[in-house]
Amino acid sequence: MDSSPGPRPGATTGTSAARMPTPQLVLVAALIGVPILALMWVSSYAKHDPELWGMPFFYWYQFVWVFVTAILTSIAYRIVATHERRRRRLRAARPDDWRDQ
Amino acid sequence: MSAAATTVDHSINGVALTIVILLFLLVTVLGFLSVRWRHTGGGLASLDEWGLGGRSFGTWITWFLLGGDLYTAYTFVAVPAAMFATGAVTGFFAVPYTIVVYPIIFIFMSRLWSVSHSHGFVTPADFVKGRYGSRGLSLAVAVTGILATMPYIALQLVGIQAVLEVLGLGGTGNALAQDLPLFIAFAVLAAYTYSSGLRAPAAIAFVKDTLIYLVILVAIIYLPSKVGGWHHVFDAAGEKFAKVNPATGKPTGSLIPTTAQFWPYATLALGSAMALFMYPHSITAVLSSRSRNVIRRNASILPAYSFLLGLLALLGFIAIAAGTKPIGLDGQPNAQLVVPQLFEDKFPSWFAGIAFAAIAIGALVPAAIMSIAAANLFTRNVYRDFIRQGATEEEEARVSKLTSLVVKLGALVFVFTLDKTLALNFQLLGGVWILQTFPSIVFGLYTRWFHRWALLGGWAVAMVYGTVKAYQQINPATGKHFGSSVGPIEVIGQSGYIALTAFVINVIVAVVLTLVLRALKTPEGTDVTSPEDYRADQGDPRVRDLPQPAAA
Repeated sequence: MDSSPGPRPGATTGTSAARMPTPQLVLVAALIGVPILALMWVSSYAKHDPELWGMPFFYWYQFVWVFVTAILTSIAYRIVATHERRRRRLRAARPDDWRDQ
Repeated sequence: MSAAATTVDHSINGVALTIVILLFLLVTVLGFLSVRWRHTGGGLASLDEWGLGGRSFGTWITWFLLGGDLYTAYTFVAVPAAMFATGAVTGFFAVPYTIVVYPIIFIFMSRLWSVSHSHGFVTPADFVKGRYGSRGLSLAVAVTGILATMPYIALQLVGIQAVLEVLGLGGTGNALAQDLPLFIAFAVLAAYTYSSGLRAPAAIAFVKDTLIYLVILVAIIYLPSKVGGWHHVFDAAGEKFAKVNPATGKPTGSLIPTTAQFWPYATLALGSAMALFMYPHSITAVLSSRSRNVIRRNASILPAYSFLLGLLALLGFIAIAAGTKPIGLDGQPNAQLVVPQLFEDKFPSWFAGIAFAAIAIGALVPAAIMSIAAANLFTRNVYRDFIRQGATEEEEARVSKLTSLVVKLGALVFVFTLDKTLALNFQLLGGVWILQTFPSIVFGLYTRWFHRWALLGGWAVAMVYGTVKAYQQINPATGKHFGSSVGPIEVIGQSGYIALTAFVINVIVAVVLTLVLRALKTPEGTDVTSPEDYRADQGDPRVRDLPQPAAA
């Protein structure tokens, strides 16, 4: 089972986290967590300057995060998907371990 | 500033109306034809087929379906309206909201997909019942879902009404003639949803999203130059919001959040993001996808819609600079009309017609999916669990189809007979309520540590707390209750989104009660799921009932 008992669902990534090596797990967590933290930190971007094409910082900065988040999430997807494919191949090679977790 | 912007013309716009009718006919035909689309044989005689489109949708169809589902006509009308009226905190929070929602669903949605496919779950309440062995907790989740969805469907009608009003339809004449166009639109929608199920909104979503993208991109490139550039747009908005509102003695709005508004802005974004995928219609769209990775892939391409929503929000500011006067057919100012009115003033009739059709069709897609989702909840978690246990698949599909009609009829009656502000208040409450199912669903995907009755207790306390707090917020301008979804947060002394405060209370109560119930050794219920169910994927022996695409 890839979750220890406890009220902290964010503790794993919702993938086959138990088998994912720690460095990758940390990386995925960061890729997913950074946009959330950045946008919750409103005081870091609630300002007028610098403007871009007449648009206050507050507005264009959040538009930039739309793209940044999309890129970070797709990198996280690639890492998770690669890992799941590998796990699936391993399991196919050892069918007896189907219920091993 | 053009003359058209300062006078209000409510005669019927013939060209625009013709285009709206033609596009409406197009999606009606699509809706009925979609019954044959990706057909797997054997009719639509099960909820997997009728209510989840055969669970066969790939990445791109899911992208259109979710985009059409989550970014509703109401959003397209209400977000720019809020920007127009009071600015960033009430309107632009929709952008961080729809950014952070995707990392959040990336985390847990594929687990919900896997466990639902392994066990044939159709609704989130099905999962809760299987996981906790509790029909009571499952009923609480189902009823919350239905209650939160009903006013949301009613607000789709408000979106269509805004378009019809600017077109010059409705408002005048007797009550029947006034509501007839809306009634016809909904009757047609009900008919093809009944016959084609989830395939109908999936097919129509292509048309809707194409139109929306086209309209917004043209508007955002063309309009700013016409009203004097972005600099002028933001200056005009800043000027309007700096004026003191005589009713409240405070500035009208905010261009950029002030220190006291940081918490409301952040909590509105986070709370709304956590709530969005608890809505039954979001989960229905996710479960209709073909494999567990479709939803994760979508988490990185759905932000395209968030970008669009941000641009759309800015139309509210453009309308300020353009001097748009959103006045209803009753002669009263109505901010909800601001985007349709802006298009009517600034674009040739034919393009305004396309824009109006985009908004109106934009209401049909989510209304169809919402009614299907609410019907599935009723069928699986009320009818089958409490009224007729052992109902067959055919019977489930039949009950669900009929319920979808009842749900839409209910929304119509709601809008026709009751004050529109009631729908808005319920929508506000719906957001507060639906977030309270988060612990049962999302925590349940990871752990059985929580006791089923503790989750029920946390849910109940939070529902009451959230409802009371929302009621207590008085609108300073009108003196009415449900004036805001932001209220004081207990203990920490900041203002925040009531739903999120209620959620924290929900979790605290659930943790404490779990400890108590475990100490008392209260029965925990049977869990029918096993750990590997949460990682199952298409093609695994444990994933059952995956239909093969027809004649592939």
